[in-house]
Amino acid sequence: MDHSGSLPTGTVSSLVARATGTSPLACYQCGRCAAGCPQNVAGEMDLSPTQILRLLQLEIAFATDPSQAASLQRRALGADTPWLCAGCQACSSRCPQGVDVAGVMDVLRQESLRRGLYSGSPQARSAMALHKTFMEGVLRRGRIHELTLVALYKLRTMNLFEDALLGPAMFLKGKLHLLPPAGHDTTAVRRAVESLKRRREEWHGPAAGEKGSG
Amino acid sequence: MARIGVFVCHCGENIARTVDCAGVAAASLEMPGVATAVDYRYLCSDPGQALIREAIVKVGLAGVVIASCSPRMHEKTFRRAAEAAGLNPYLCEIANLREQCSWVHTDRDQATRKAIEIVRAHVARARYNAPLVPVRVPLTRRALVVGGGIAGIQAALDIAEGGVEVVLVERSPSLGGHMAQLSETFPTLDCSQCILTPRMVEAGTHGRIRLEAYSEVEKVEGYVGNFQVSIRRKARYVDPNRCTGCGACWQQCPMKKLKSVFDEGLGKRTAIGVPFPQAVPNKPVIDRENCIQFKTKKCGRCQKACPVGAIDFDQQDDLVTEQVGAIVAATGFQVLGKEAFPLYADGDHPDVITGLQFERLASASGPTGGEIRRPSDGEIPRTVVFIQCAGSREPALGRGYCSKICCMYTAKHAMLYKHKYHPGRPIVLCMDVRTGGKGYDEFWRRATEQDGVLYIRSRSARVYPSGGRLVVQAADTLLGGERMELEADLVVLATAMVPQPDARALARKLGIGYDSDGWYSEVHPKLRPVECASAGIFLAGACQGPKDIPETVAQASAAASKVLGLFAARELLREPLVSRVHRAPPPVHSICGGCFACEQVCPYRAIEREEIRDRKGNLIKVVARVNAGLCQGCGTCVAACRAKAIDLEGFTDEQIVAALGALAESNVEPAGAR
Ligand SMILES: Cc1cc2nc3c(=O)[nH]c(=O)nc-3n(C[C@H](O)[C@H](O)[C@H](O)COP(=O)(O)OP(=O)(O)OC[C@H]3O[C@@H](n4cnc5c(N)ncnc54)[C@H](O)[C@@H]3O)c2cc1C
Ligand code: SF4
Ligand code: SF4
Repeated sequence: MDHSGSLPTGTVSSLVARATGTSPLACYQCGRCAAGCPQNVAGEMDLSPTQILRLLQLEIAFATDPSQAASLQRRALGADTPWLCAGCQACSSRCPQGVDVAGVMDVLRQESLRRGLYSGSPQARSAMALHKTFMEGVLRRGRIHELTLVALYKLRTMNLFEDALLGPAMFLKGKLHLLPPAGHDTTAVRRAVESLKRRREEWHGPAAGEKGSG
Repeated sequence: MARIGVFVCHCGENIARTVDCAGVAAASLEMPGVATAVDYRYLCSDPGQALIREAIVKVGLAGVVIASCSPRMHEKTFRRAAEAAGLNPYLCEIANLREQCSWVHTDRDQATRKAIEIVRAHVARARYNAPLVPVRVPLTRRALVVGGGIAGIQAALDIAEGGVEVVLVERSPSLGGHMAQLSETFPTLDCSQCILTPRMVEAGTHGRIRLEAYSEVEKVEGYVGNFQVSIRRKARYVDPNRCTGCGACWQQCPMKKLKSVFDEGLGKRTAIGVPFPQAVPNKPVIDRENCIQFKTKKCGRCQKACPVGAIDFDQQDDLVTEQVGAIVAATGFQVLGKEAFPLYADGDHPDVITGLQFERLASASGPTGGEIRRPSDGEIPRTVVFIQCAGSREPALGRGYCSKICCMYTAKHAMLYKHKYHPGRPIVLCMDVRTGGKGYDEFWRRATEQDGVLYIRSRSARVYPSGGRLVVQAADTLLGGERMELEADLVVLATAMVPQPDARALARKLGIGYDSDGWYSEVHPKLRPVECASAGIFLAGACQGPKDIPETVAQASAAASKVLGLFAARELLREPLVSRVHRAPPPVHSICGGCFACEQVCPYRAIEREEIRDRKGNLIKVVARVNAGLCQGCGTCVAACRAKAIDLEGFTDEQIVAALGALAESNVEPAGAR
């Protein structure tokens, strides 16, 4: 069912519907996304993906009640879940109702920054650090050099030895290259990023000061 | 000039709220041909009808226009009132002021003006209404039932008990359908075969039931009351008249390791045999694909073993034609196989089975003698996870509907497992538990409260093999989506009920409709649940949508009573709103040029060829003729006829032109022009 046209304006849910093509109302809370999500481990995600969808459904129902809606938005956008989402798409590919759950997480990350609701918890901060480092790398070289990414990320989070044991194994599997790849033309990448920014402005107006840091 | 009466109904407030009914009546009086016009609060009430009857007699009306609700509601009522006053009922015309006007508009002025225009168009066409008489169709009092599951058996028995002969066609070698495969049945846990087999025997031996097992409907021609059905009797390679069902043949068959269809692939069978011991008819069939004699001509052991010489390798299919007046479609369903579920151990693990396979495991007549043993190694499973809604309620896979029976049979399966193996741990993954039905909710509460079946509210994300067991990924949504990895020895998928693979092909043969999922369509989901849109064809059982046994049987009896009701009349009367080909006295005969464009377009195969001959019998021309028994009055032929030689009674070109002309001539400003 397509309900994307009919959601109250200004809600996070309406942005979700616009970006993913399905409304949160399609979710019937079966829990399959939560069941298959590799990041949905106790102590990590504070809300399961299923619960995130539920909060968005409540937001739609209470959209006309500003204080209720705001409190629901705070819970959804302030959650660590979107930041812990690895974007593996297991949920989106399995959802019986065709909800693009990973796409929902994308929207939530952007909105949490835009509305200043980003939680800043340790989980969220390290995810944020990774995103930033990644984007800087891409903008600088046009593609990613894993070892530089890891080094910069670790400097940013000062979490020097976490997962250090994974390094040699990844190296042996050919996933880590010692030398950065030859320089690439970055104009195409920059153009893509610019066009995404323009689209965001079309949706929301010029970006307000974004909160949240690495 | 025609004397027409206009009667405007308020429908309480339904019409009067937005339409000035008295104003409409007053305006009608000005229309050409109108002799009287009144408005009234409820025309369908007794006094309302009396008003119409009196006006017809006193004013001497030649036609009436009732401006009221949709003709679907009260056309019959008002036509009967007209008839009671001596007017031909087809001279009574309904103008819809409710669904097409008052209910869809808010502006009273505009709605009133539109109402006047609607009445004006109807008055114009009413002037050309002709008295019509219902079409009389002769009737063959015999019925065909297609499908010999519990639905077909019940329908056939009820019709036969009503005194009417039945031809019962079953595609497989035996009657019984899915019910024969079931172990025990919810909500009472009675043994399925114990309650079914007496019915099978009764249907197989009833004096008024002609059982055509191992047969299929090849072609259907004709129309309500007069169908000609050709039936293909597939070659059994066994002469049913000689065979006594002793079983000597299959004991000798060397092909002993074929997968049993009846046991859903879990048991073994031979190349000749009956599907199960209580089969009706109890006559074997040779599976030609797997028979050595057919492959290499080097066997024939069954032929030697048969004491009565019934085996005949040269037998051929045989076509028979039956005349019947009504048809009941009772072809049932199938279940999705596990290969449809790549998420669940790639749809290819011996210990992931379907609910129907579980029925065979739990059945005393099944491959394990009723013990629950897992197929891979024959061990008794310590934990069984049941996954509900497998393939149902999953629009992303193209199936949005609920299969309706699996919540109940899963509760049954979990209970049976627990009853048979007390230390076992049954876990059910459900989205919700749907138990609408008498004694049904109590049944699943028993599963949880007495038998300790654990229900987890979750859809599984994945099942994968690990260390000789299976791991089922789930999340407890009642704990907020907490992830769990359940270890299981056997996983049972409550796979969706889906239409038979040939359901659409059969529908096209019968000329009946089906919905986007492939279930057969009834005329009205509430008020005409067992009738097809094609007259004389009725529906019973799961071919119309997922159903359990009580519902199936109820619908089968309903279909049977419809058949008996149809046959209670001496002949059939049908609405005369059918097409008619122009005929004229010689030398014109007809303006039909015989191009038969109409024949090409008619969806009901109602166009016949008529030869016009002179007195000496010489052929003058061949023209089209409409079979009034088949014609459904859709008017497609009228549009296709280049010579304008066909007209639809009640909707003639003359009437439609008159109505359009009245609308065109009226001088109202177009709606919204302000
Ligand atoms: C696993 C499982 C467990 C169940 N448990 C229960 C239970 O405990 N209690 C309960 O009430 N219900 C139960 N049901 C439901 C029950 O099986 C159905 O309600 C019932 O079988 C429907 O009967 P039917 O005659 O409409 O269809 P079917 O049983 O499918 O019979 C249809 C018959 O028509 C024949 N046929 C099909 N196409 C043609 C054709 N073109 N020409 C000629 N013949 C044709 C088929 O060969 C078959 O014999 C269960 C179902 C399943 C899958
Ligand atoms: S899998 Fe889809 S329907 Fe199920 S809970 Fe997740 S989003 Fe909702
Ligand atoms: S009956 Fe129950 S298990 Fe079957 S599809 Fe419907 S809700 Fe799911």
